[in-house]
Amino acid sequence: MLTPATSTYAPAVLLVEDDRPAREYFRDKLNEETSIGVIVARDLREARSLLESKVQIDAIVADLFFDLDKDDPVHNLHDGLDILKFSASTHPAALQYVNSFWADREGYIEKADKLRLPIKTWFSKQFRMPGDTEAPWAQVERDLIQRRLSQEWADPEEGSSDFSELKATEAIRRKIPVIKRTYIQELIDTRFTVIKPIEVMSWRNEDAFVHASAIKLGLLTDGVGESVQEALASLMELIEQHVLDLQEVQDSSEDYSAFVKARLSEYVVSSEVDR
Amino acid sequence: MSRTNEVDRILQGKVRLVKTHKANHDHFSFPKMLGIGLPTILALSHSNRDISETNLKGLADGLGMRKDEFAQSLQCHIGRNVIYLCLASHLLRWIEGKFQADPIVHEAGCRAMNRSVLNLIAQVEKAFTPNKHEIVVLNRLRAEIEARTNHEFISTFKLIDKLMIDVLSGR
Repeated sequence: MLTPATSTYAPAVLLVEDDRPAREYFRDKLNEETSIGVIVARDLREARSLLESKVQIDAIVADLFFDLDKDDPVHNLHDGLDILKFSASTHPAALQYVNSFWADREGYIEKADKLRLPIKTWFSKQFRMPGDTEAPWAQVERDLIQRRLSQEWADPEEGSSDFSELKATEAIRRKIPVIKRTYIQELIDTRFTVIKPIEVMSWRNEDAFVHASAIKLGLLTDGVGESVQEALASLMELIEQHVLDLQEVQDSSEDYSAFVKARLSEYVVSSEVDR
Repeated sequence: MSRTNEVDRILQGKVRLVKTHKANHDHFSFPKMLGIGLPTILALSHSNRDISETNLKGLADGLGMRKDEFAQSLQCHIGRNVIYLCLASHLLRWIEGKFQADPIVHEAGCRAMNRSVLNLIAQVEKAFTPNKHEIVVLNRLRAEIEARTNHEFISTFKLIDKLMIDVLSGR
């Protein structure tokens, strides 16, 4: 049976923002205009709790200033930089961003340097400043995708993360199960004649074997082999076996065998075959 | 006994499948006399070696079982009735996916499969007493069915569920 590829990349962003309209605006933009997911924290306590949980977080966008009832003095978390510092211990690989009306206020960039925070960008809550070419949410998405791609084709032996087209192609070939479309135009046993090319999808499965599925015939089993050729040969054998097995099935029957028989008859005819 | 022989014994004996030996694979299907109306449901590749873990996983998947459950069936802890229920539930999930993907293209095939699933369920004894291993599998199937609430073949899912409830409650 044809099974979908299981390897997916689904990054998520933690948005720490106490101002409701700003929070909902950024959240909606992430949801509607990017491929990345979002989880929100309405205050620093909630942000800490989420960071301490096992929720997947690939990037953090934090406001700078929080009202007194929105901070977490017990854990010494008073502003956005404190929560970014805290996140460095729980999610060291997460990308960090600041999003504030006061992003350029003196002293904060200095504090961030002192805390050694790897903040990628200081967004202004006006969101689109003159000269900006990209919305903040789009930039977060691009950064995440770019980092993922660089991880995919970094050569562990050479320690290189060179973005060459060739390496990118190889990385994609290795990581994404490619489904190949091909056709069976003849069977192994010459007593069977293929009257219409049989469409076949083949792919290398998690079990490391190549599976070949004649999707339009509705067979319940795939051809399987160590190569596409072997899988196709196995599928041909399976089709021949079905033609033989289903010869005696009543055309008027409403079960699945009758359905497969009818499908097969559109593609394969057989001369008199010894049973 | 080699694992290959063990698998053969279970599939042909306990599950009542008929084996056909071909150049590349052994094919297993239900005998026509059972009237289930399913074509080949399992294909097992030949190898000089004994059956591998990969083969076992493939066979388990084909029957709608988990690998450990299939291994338990090889040890005779899980019987035919439960295996049939696993397979029925697996085939229903398959048509569920097909039907949701494109109800117009797949409707005829899905309805035919639904018919065969009903035939398969009819082979399950109505009042068997499950052992502790089987109870675990039945509860797993029930949980999976409960997660399904609204699709074209829900009545067949419910039928399987009712059968399992009866068995689990000893009715």
